[in-house]
Amino acid sequence: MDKKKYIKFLSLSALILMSGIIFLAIMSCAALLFGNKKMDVTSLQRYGLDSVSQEIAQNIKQPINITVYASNDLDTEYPELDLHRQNVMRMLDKFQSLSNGKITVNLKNPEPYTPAEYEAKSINIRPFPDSENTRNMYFGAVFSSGEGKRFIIPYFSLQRQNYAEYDISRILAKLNGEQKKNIGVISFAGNISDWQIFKKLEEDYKVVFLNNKMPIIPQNINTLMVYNPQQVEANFVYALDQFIMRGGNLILFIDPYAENVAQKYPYTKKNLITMLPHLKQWGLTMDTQNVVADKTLSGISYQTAISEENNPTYLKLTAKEMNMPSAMGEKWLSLLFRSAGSLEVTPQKETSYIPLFSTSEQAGLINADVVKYSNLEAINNAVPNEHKKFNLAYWIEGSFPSLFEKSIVEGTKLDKEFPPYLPSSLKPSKILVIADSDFIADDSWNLTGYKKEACVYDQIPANNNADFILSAIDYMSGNNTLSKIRINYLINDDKNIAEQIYAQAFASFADEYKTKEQEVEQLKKDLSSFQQKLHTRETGMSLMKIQELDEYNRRQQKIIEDLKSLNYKIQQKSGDTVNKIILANTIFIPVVLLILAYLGVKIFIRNRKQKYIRIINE
Amino acid sequence: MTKQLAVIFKKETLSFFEGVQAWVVLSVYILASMFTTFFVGGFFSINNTGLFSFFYFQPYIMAFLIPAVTMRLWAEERKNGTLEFLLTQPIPLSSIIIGKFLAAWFLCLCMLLLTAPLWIYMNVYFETDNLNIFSGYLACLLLSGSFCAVGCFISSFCSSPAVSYLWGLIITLFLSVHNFSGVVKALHLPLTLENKLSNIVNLNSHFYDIISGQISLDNILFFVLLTLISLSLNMASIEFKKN
Repeated sequence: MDKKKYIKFLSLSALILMSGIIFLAIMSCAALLFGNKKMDVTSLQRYGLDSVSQEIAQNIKQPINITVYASNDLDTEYPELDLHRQNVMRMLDKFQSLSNGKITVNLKNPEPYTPAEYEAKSINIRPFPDSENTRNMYFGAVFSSGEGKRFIIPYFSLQRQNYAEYDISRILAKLNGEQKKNIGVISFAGNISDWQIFKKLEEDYKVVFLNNKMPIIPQNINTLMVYNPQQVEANFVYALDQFIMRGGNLILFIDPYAENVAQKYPYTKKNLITMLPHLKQWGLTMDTQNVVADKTLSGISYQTAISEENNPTYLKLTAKEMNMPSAMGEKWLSLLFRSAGSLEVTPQKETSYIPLFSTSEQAGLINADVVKYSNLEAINNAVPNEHKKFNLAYWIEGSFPSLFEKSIVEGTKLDKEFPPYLPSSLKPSKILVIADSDFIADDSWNLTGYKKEACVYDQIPANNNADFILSAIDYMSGNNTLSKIRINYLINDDKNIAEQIYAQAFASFADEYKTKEQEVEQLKKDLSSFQQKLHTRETGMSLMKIQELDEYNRRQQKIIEDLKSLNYKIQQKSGDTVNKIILANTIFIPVVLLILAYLGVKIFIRNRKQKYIRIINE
Repeated sequence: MTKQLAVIFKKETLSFFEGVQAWVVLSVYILASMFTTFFVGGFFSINNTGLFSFFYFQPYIMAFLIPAVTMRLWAEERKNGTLEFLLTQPIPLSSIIIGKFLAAWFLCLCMLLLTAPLWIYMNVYFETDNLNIFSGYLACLLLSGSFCAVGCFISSFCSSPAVSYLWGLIITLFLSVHNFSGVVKALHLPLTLENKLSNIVNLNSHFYDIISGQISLDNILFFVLLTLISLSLNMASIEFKKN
């Protein structure tokens, strides 16, 4: 290489190096200036922080330190979890940039046998094996405040990614807020402390389980949950009355048929609801004999989930059926009621009533005993066409007179130990009455089984029952901001293409499918009534009857075969659509476009050539 | 200058389409893109409202194909000995460079246009997030622009198109696959800083930010800056040659 070339090479290399440095410098400045100011370019604004979350971040008063423990190799081991990690990191960056420097986010990589791993283990960040099960990986976070408060998310579960913003916002609000408040729980259905909802409540509140025979509700409890009150004693009636008189807030779960209690104690007699004096005092009446049924809202019954038959007494409510007070934030995605009762209101003075949840206009009432002792088919047949709308829960705020004229301990030794008797409310109370005791049971909202060490951040809710109760408790306890935090269902909650193709294919056979299903139902009914007649000996057994029975079975078999063939056709149609999409987009459309482009270019070149020839000739 | 730029752009574009190069690139691109979308990217099984399974593999496909578009822009001029002739024409060097770059970028636009029927198809039959898809196409356009500029620069100091393709492939693959992660790791910085620096120089991270619908100005600046710097270097290398 001669000297001149060598100098040229050196100069070019120096130029490349300088360009690299300039590039890095500008990009670093840009990342500092704009890195956290992301624009959400999605139609539904999937990634934007909720206004409540923004408010929480902006109002942080004291320094909060967030340390995320995330293994570096998540992208190669678990790509989907790595995408979730990126989203969580971006979200934390957004919180950080909104907090005016109050939030600091640190990232640590807990590589095996390093101090970072020991640190992660010591604060209970949960390890999980890599894809080859050779070493531990981590993805969790610790949130700590200057005051020494600390909250830990041991593992950011992929199944709970919709809840990421909800969880982080709640933790930040708690770190910024007051001490844990007490909430009391009184159960009339045995021990319910192992239910997942209480794990959720205990994360934010101090949950105190109280004896249901107590004549006093402790003074340090301002919010009380009463579960399925039945066969209540006078002591409790007095205790609850005086609790309301002193302005206590109450969440009451009461219904004509508590499935969970019936499963636990199958031989007990029909529920004796003796809460009615209180309900009347608050201006409410409840039908104690019937449960609400609504075929348009019917959720799938778990006992029959395999056969996918709908239970009209399991009501899956969506935002349409909700009516939330504005102070409690937006509506929820879904709530499940199981054999709920109906509530009616007789307005009292100085009291406001908000019907929170109601059925559609197509609902009816079924006797609670029918629901309890019949199979699904009978329940479905028993749904009347009352075309009525029923209220399943009420939010009441107001002051009430006492049920009692004097203290129940007046004139006894206990009189001095008891707080003074209150004849009327000292201040208004907030009362939430839900006409379904099963509302908070695990199998109404939380379908997954968990290991013993599982925490609230492992819960994968199917319905928002527990989220709603927590939000109501937040509101009753004065944590108004917390009560408004909602779950971001826009992240990763769309139907995939295969599901959409199947739904489209099914739609073209839907009528036929429905007809066949109805035929099966009818045939089943005919067969059962025929068999019943045979059993009751209304008709004697003869060769003709046997042939008739055979004919029923043959017809049933035929329809089942038809249904199978329909299913096959639907699957085939879905497969055809998939093939069409692939072929059309990979071959047909591009080939046509390429041919058109080729012809266009050829015509253009020919015209140009002709133009040049003409110019030369001229 | 605009007129001269248009002349160069026309000449280069026509030379792409007059031969087989453009048609081969377009065919390979559509086949590769659709194959990865349908058979590797889980098009039918993941939530695809933003056509994520289509956009996800674009950096890798473009890393292979764009050097094939740009390989002959300067290298062939050198090989055929027409570079000196071109440089002595009364056309500003910047017009020649930008004209050649725009011609390559135009071919990339044609590549992306070939996939537009998928977008239309999705809109007709399925739920789509058009804003998100639009941002995906914007990301592809920015990415292809950067790769074209890098390819032009590499082609400017290679005397054979084949060598130019190979170097182009190495550099674009380095940018899209390796992402400087090894270089950043070797600096042994604190993890938070290492992570931030990795994000700054990571082409994929900027690209995935845009296709997932979370754009910030630094994402766009990354591609624009990469393009501008590559074009400036291209100009410098030709200037060296000229002098």
